[in-house]
Order: sequence, then structure tokens, then C-alpha cells
Amino acid sequence: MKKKKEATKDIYQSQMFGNSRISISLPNDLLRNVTELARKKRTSKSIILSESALLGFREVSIRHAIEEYQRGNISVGRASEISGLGLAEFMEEMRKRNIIPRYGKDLLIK
Amino acid sequence: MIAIPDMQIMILLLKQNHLQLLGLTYDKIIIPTSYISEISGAKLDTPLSEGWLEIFDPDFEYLMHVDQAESKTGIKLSVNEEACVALALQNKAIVLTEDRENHTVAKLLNLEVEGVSDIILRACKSNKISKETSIKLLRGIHNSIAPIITSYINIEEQLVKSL
Repeated sequence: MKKKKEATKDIYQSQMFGNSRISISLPNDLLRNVTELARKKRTSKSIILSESALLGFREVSIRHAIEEYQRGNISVGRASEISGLGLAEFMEEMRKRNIIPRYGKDLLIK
Repeated sequence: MIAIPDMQIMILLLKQNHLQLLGLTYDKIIIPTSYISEISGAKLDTPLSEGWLEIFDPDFEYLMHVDQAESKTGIKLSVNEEACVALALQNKAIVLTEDRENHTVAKLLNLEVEGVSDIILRACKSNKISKETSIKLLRGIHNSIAPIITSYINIEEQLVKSL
């Protein structure tokens, strides 16, 4: 009965915040940790996982954009568009990861 | 001499608080309106009031030329970079960029291209900034792109010193 009540609350919250519900598989260890953290924070596993996904997705997007940039044929500006970050923020991410931007051939000194 | 900087050049110069270098080095600087989403409008107030910066968008036909150049080379630029190259075509201006892909597309369209070191060297040669400031700027800019590119800095520093 309690579980059913929690599930109804989750659906209500999802609809309130424009979220969608999907079913995913998680490693058992991760699910254990999520359950534990949700219990400590007195919140739902769904909220913990949503927050984790949002934080993790930024990193996944940046990695994908850098991979595309390193494959060639896209500019650093286009890579920043792919990452969903602004150019300044994306350049900073590249710098942190020691990714050397491709310079124009004869740009250095004429 | 009109120049169109790409967004990367704008960001690099703004980071060093030296956007005015563009106004000192070229007669007029034009940027597309789309840059405003990334660069705060307040940072552009002074250049706009001093009259060396203008903001407007390229005509569609010039954007089409850039699109064709991208198709020929297989390169994909960002919306801002496409607007930058199109504005340069429209105004027979110099493209200011450090990016290889942007450089390739601009060159294919027979545009003149200059990088951040060219801007600094121009300013230094015409005594708009001192050699010390030039070297400090080169170091600051390269450090904000990728701290490991030290060989570039050494070559450029030697050149500034020899002026």
C-alpha cells in the first residue's frame, strides 16, 4: 500500500515538472547506493536518479562533442553546439582536458 | 580595413580585457547579432559607442556561398562561424579566426584570414601596444586555449622582440 502511494506521488511529480517515465536497467551496486542515499535524504530514488542523470549527461555530451571534434571536419564552434554548452564554456572544458585545438595552417606568423 | 572576428577570437580577447585591440588595429569590426547570446551586451557598449563596432547579420545569398563551401570541403561550422564568414564575403573583409576549419572555408572563398597573433603583431608594429604588452597578451591567450602549446609562444615572442 505504501509503495503504491509512493508510485502515485512519483507520477504526480513527473507530470508536474514535465518529466517522462521510462524503465531502465541499473547495476545492482548502483541501485543499492541510490536506495541508501534516497533513504538518508528522505527523498525518492527517482529524484536521486534524475539529478544524477542531469549531472552525468553534461559530461557525456562534452565527451561526445570532443570525440566528434577530434575525428575532424567540424570546427570548435560546431563542437560546442553539439555539446550544448556555450563556446567559452566548451573551450574551458577542452583546456581542462588538454585537448589542443586545431590551428589554421598559416595563422602563426606570416 | 574591415575585419570580422569569429566568436573564439572575441572570447579570447574579452578574457584578456583587450577587446579594444580590434578597434585599434582595424578600421571597422562587424559581428553578427547571434554573438549577443554568448557575449553580454554590456561588454559591447563601449565599442559600439566608440563607433568601431557594428552589429548586423549577413544577407542570405552570402550564407548560401558559405554553405556551398562547407559542402565542398565536408566541413561543418557553427551558426556563428557561418555568419562570420558570410559577413566577411559581403563586406570584402578579413576573417579573424584561430580555427582550422573556419580558416579552410574562408580560404576556399578567397578571403583573407588572420589569427590572434597577427592582430597583436599589427598592433605592436603600429605602436598601439608595447612589446611587453604584446608578449603578455600572447602568453595569456595561448594559456587560455591550451597551456601545453609552448612552442608557438616561443616563436611569437621572438618575433615580437625582433620588431
